Amino acid sequence: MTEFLHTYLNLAPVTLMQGVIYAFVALGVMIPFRILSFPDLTAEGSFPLGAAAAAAAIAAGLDPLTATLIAVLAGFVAGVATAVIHLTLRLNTLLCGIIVLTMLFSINIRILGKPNQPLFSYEMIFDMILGPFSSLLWWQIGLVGVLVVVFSGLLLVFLKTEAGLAMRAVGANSRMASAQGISIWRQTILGIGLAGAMCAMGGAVMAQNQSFADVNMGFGVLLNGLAALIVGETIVGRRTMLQQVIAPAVGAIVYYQVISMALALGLEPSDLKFLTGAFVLLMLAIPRFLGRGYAVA
Amino acid sequence: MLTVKDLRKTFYRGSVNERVALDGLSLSLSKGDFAAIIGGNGAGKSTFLNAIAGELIVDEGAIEIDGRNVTPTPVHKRSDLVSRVFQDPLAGTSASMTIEENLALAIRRGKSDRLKFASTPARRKLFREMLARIGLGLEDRLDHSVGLLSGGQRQSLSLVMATITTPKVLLLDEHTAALDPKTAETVMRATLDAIERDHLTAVMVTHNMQHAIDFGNRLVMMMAGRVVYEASGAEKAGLSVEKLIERFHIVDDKMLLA
Ligand SMILES: Nc1ncnc2c1ncn2[C@@H]1O[C@H](COP(=O)(O)OP(=O)(O)OP(=O)(O)O)[C@@H](O)[C@H]1O
Ligand SMILES: [Mg+2]
Repeated sequence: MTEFLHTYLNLAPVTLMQGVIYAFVALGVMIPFRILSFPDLTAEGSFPLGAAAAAAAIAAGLDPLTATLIAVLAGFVAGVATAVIHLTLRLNTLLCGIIVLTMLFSINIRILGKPNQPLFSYEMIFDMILGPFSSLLWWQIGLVGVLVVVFSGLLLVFLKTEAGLAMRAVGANSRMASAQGISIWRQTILGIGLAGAMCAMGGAVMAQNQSFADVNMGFGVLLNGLAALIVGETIVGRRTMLQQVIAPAVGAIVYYQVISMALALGLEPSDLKFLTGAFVLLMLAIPRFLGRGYAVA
Repeated sequence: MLTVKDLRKTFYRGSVNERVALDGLSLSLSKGDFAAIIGGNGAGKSTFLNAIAGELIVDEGAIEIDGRNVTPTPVHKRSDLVSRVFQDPLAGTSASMTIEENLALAIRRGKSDRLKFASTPARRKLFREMLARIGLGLEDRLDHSVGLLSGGQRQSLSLVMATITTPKVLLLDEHTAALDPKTAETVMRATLDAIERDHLTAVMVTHNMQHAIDFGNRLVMMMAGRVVYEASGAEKAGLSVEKLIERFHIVDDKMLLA
């Protein structure tokens, strides 16, 4: 028991850092799944795209802020690609996502010029903003935490505007949305683009945090984000927009602490994907057996 | 206000299931006209309304609303001209949003999406007033989720949403058919009030011939995708259900019921 606690406490800050970074991904999963009712897998490609774009830009000598911005834009474009494929070809949204994320794998290698890119000798967003405190983990957590709060806050404000209401209407009842003069095309493109931008932001921050970008770092990201989202919604609820927007960040932080405990109990990191899958399945199954629909996809 | 000329629409053209839904339909309504449309099942009434709303693009013919040719215009781009109440109470409102949010969507119909807060005190006051007119107590439930409302309440909300911006043409497709008789009457009353108050041009599909005779200033009968009989003014005033049945040898039960 004491050994577990010891290991857990050692892991906690590191997994907390991961948690706040993955909050971006959880936000980027929440938008398609909850706001637009557009089950989407693009996160698996836009997350490493964000990492690759940021890393390549930094390695090319750009400042980390510009690099992060480029990454976010690239993620937006990836989301738009998935949305446009769905809207024009009427293919299943999941298939559109798979097509885009598979294509992104090649694109990401092209961007990096190789499968991975170490960034140890470059200035990162952490160095730029935190200055002398940049190597302190708690300061890093604080910085990313503030960014997550700002992004979530902006998203919440947006969803309460007329434009945000229009986007929500598309996910809630698209026939009614059209009848109210809302363009399904425009809202879907904007929303899925926004989701891609969030995921890419996560990837860009992750790459800068670990000073390393790898084209394989997206593997399993979507399920992690979904698991985090479900955990968050279970904790804070999803009745109001405020709850719906807070849930991803809360969920991501709690979820990675649970993972940290699992690791402290002696599980191998490679076991986690199985456990995440099992967890998501369980969360989908419980309401089914209780007779209540929990609309994830 | 609404002019349709020679509308034609065929579903599954060229296949064994080919169905001619509109077969050269023409109709012209002046501002303030209220037309009740009757006709048997499959006569093309819903197809006609879908064509006006833009949910369906016709194969041939022209649709003009308020002087604008909207024949090829998609639904969302003609929503500033047309609004509608669907037959299905679930179709016209969004269950997961609040009453206020639904109304906020409707009041911005035809405008571009703005980055302005959707909820303002002035708007809430306006919404309360509009809801109070129906008399179902919805004015005190602005923050309730629409999914919690009954079918009749949802349909009433749909009606308020459809009339909140004073559309050029209001479309009603058997919008009380899914309701119990008492609720249907409440919704019909609210409909007539709204049409009268705002002098709306309206097209109402109904299976209730008495309603078609009693309400509106025009009566249109459709059969096989065409207008087969039209009455207005004194002729309409002199109609009765019996006369219509006799004249058209109506044997369709559904038209007599309700
Ligand atoms: N989306 C569609 N796809 C294929 N056929 C259709 C479609 N919509 C309508 N039809 C066909 O077109 C014809 C006219 O249908 P419509 O729904 O307009 O009739 P209606 O007058 O509204 O009938 P009802 O009184 O039953 O509502 C019918 O034969 C119908 O089967
Ligand atoms: Mg019909």
